[in-house]
Amino acid sequence: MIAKLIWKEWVEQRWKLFLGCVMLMGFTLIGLSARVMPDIEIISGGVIVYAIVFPLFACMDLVAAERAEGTLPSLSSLPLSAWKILAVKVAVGLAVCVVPMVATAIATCLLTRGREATTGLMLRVYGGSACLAAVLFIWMLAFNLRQPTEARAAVVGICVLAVMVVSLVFCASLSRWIPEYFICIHPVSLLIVIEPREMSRIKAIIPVQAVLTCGLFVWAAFRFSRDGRAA
Amino acid sequence: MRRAAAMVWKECHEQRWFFLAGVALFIGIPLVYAKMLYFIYRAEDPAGQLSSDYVEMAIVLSIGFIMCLGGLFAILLAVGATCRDLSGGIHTFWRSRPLGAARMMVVKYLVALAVVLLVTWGAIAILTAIYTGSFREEIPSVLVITLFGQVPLMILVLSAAFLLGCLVRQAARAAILSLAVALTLYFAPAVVPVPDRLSFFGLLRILERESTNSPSPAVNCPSILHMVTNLLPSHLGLLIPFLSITLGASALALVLSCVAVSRGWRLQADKKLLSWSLVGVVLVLLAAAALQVGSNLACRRSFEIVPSGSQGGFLAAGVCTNGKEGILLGYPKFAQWDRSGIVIESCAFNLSNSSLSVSSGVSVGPAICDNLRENFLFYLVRSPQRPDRAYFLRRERDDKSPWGIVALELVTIATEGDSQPTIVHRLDLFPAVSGKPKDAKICHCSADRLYILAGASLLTVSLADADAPKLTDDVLTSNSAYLTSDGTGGKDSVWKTLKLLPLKDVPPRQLVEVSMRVAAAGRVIDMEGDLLVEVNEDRLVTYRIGEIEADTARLELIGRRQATLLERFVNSDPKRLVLRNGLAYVLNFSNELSVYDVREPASPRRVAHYAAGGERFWDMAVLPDGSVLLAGAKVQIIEPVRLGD
Repeated sequence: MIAKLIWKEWVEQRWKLFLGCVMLMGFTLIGLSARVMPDIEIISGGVIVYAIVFPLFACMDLVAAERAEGTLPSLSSLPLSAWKILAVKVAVGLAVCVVPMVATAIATCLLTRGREATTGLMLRVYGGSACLAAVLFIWMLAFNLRQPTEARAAVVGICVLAVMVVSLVFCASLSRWIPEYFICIHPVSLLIVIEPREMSRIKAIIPVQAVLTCGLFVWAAFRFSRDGRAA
Repeated sequence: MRRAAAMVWKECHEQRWFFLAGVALFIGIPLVYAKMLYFIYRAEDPAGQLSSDYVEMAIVLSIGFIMCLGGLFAILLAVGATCRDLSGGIHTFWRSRPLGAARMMVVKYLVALAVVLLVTWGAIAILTAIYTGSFREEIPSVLVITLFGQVPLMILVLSAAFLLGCLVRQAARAAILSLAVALTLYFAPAVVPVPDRLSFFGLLRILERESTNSPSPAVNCPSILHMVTNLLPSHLGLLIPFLSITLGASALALVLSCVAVSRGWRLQADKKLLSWSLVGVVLVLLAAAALQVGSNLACRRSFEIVPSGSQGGFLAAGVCTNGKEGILLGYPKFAQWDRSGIVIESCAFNLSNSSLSVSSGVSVGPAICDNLRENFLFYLVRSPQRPDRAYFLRRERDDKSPWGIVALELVTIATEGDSQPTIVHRLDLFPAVSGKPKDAKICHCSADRLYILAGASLLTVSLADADAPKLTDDVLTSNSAYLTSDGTGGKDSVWKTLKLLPLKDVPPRQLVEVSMRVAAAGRVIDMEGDLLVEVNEDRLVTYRIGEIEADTARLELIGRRQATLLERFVNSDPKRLVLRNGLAYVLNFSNELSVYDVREPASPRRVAHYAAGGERFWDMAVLPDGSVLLAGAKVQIIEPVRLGD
C-alpha cells in the first residue's frame, strides 16, 4: 500500500522535481560556463535562493490540493495510519527539494573540477543548502497543513518565510545579547556547515535542528490525523 | 451611445483604485521621498543651493518608478480589468445582456489605457508644472524618451496582459503568464543584439551618446507641453520605429482580445504551464546573455606567482615577455601602501616549463601604483633590439605633493633566464621636465628610441646603448600634436587630420605613431601597419593611415563596432589594447578580455571573450602563438583565438 502511495505522490510531484532540476542546474551551469562571476558566488547564490524559495513551491499543494479537490477523505480512508500517509508526502516533498541540489552538485563538480573553489567547499555549500531546504520545507508544511486551498497554503508559507527573515535580521543585529542556543534554532544556522572551522557550533546546531524538525513533523502528523478523522 | 457611456462609467468606477494607486506610486511617493531627502540635505548643509531642487529629484524618481514598476502596474491593471468580468458567473451575466463582447472589451481597454496615460504622463506633467528651477541638461530629453518610449512599452505590456487575461480568465495565472511576457518584452532587446532604435534601453543609449557629443544647456523650467513641442520634432525620427512596433503590436493584441472573447477562446493555464513558462523565459534570457558576454576562450594554464625564496604571493601590475621568458613588475601581497605609492619589485619568469618559475625579486624603488585602477601599462616596455632588457618608468610622489611627481627616472632592467634580474642603469629624467607634472608615461618604444610624455613635455631617450639610455635634445611640448576632424561631421567625420610632432630624423610611420599617441593621450589605441584601432567603453573604431605630409597625416575612419547593451553593462572601460595579426585584444578594468577581428577593418567583429570570474588582472601580453598571458594576482595563459578563413 505504501509503495502505491509513493507511486501516486511521485506521479503528482515529479514535474516539480524536473522543474527544480532544470531551474537550478540551468542557472548554475549557464553561470559557470559564462564565468562572469566567481564560481563559488554563482553556486552559492543559486543554491541558497533555491533552498529558500523552492520548499514553498514544493509544500503548497501537498495537502491543500487534496483538500481543495476533495480527495483527502479518500486518502484518509486508506488502511494506513495518518502519519504514514503524511510521511510519504513529506518524503516525496523532500525529494523534490533535495534531488535537484544533488544533481546540480554532481554536474557542478564534473564541470568545474576544482578550477576555482575546491570540491569540498562546493559540496559543503550544497550540503548546507540541502539541509536548509529540508528544514524550511518541514516548517512550512507544519504550518500550512490545514489550509483549504493552495493559494492560502502559499500565503502561510510566505508568512513563515517572512518570520524567518525578520528573526534572522533580529538575531544578526542583536547577536551580542542573544544566547548561542537561540541562534541554533534558526534554520539558516545550518549554512554554517560551509565553514569547517566552526565544527563545535556545527555539533550543537545539527542535533538542535534534528530535534526541532522531528518535533514539527510529530505536531504536523498529529494535526493531520485529527484532520483525517474529521474528514 | 448611452450604453457605451454607462460602460465607460462602470469601468472608470472599477478602475479608480488603480488610478489612485498609480497617482500615489508615480507622483506621491517620489514627491514625499524627495522632500524627505531635501530636509536631510538641508539639515546637513543649511547654506546649500537647494531651493526647489527636490522637485527635480522627484521627477527623476518618478521616471525611475515608471521604468521599474510601470510594467507591473500595467499587468495588474489589465488583468484586473479582464478577469473581473470574464471569470465565472459574471461572464454568464454579461453574455445575457444586449452588449457586444468586442465593444465591451474595447471600452475596458480604452479605460485601462487612459489610466496608464493619466498616471504616467500626468505624473510628469504635474511635477514639471510645480517645478520652478532649471533642469539639468539631460533631463528634458530623458523625459521625452520616457513619455514616448517607456510609456508605449507599458502600453504593449498592458495589451499583452489584456490578451492573456481574456484567454486565461483567472487573475493569478494570467498575471504570472503576463509577467513572463513582460520580462521578455523588457529584457529580450537588451540580451539579444537588436538595433538600438528598437529597444527602450537602446533609445536611452542613443540619447546619452548624443548628449555627450553635444551637451545642451540647462533648460529653464518649461512646461511639459513646451518641452514636448520643442524636443519631440528632433527625437521623432529616433522614436518612429519603436513607436510603430509597440503601438502596432498593441493594436493587434486588442483585436485578438476582442476575437478571443467573442469566439470564447480559452487557454488552460495550469501550474505546470505557468511554472515552465516563467522558468523557461528566465533561463532563455540568462542563456542569451551568457552567450553574448560569457567566456568562449579557455584558460590553458593558471599559476600562482610565488617568487623563489618568498613565502607569500606576488601581485603583478606589469608584464613584458617574449613568450618564453619575461619580467613581472609588482609588489608582494599584503605590502604596505602609502600615498606616495609602494616599493616595486621586479622578477624574471620562465614559461618554458609546465610550471611557472619566478625568480626572487629585485627592488626597483618606490613608485606610484594606486591600488586596483593603476597598472604599469604605460610604464614598462621591452627593448625591441635587446629582448633581455626592459625599461621601467619610475614615478614618485611624496606626502607634500600628492598630485605632482617629485621624481622621474628610467630604470633599465636586465634579465637572464629565470635568474634574479638586475638593475643596470638609472636615468634621472626629472631635471628635463618642465614644471611638476601630474603624471608621465611611455608613449612609444622603437628599436633605438623611447618617447616619454611627462605633463606638457615630450622627452626622447636614445637606446643606442641598450644598457645606458641617454636623453636626447629633442624636448617638445605635447600640445604640438593634435587630432582634428575634417568637414562637418564633427567627432564622427570620416577624415581626420593629425598634426605631426616636429621630431628630427624619425621615420614617417614612427612619427605618426608617436604623434598619435601624444595627441590621443588618455585614449586606448594601438597601431599595426597602416591600421589604427581605438577602443572605448562604447565602441571600437578602425582608422586607416592615409597620406603623410611634412607636418600632417590623414586618417580615414573606415569601420566601427558599437558595443551591445549587455557588453556595456558587464564590461567597464578598456585599459589595454594590443593589435596583433589583425586581431585586437582588449583587456578592461572589469578583468574581461575581448578579442575583435579587424582583418576586415570596415566591419570589425567580436570573435572571442574571456571573463576571468573573480580573478584580477592588471596587464596582458600576446604571445607569439596567439595565446594571451594575463598577469595580476595570478598568471594565466588563455588559449589562442581560432578563426575560420
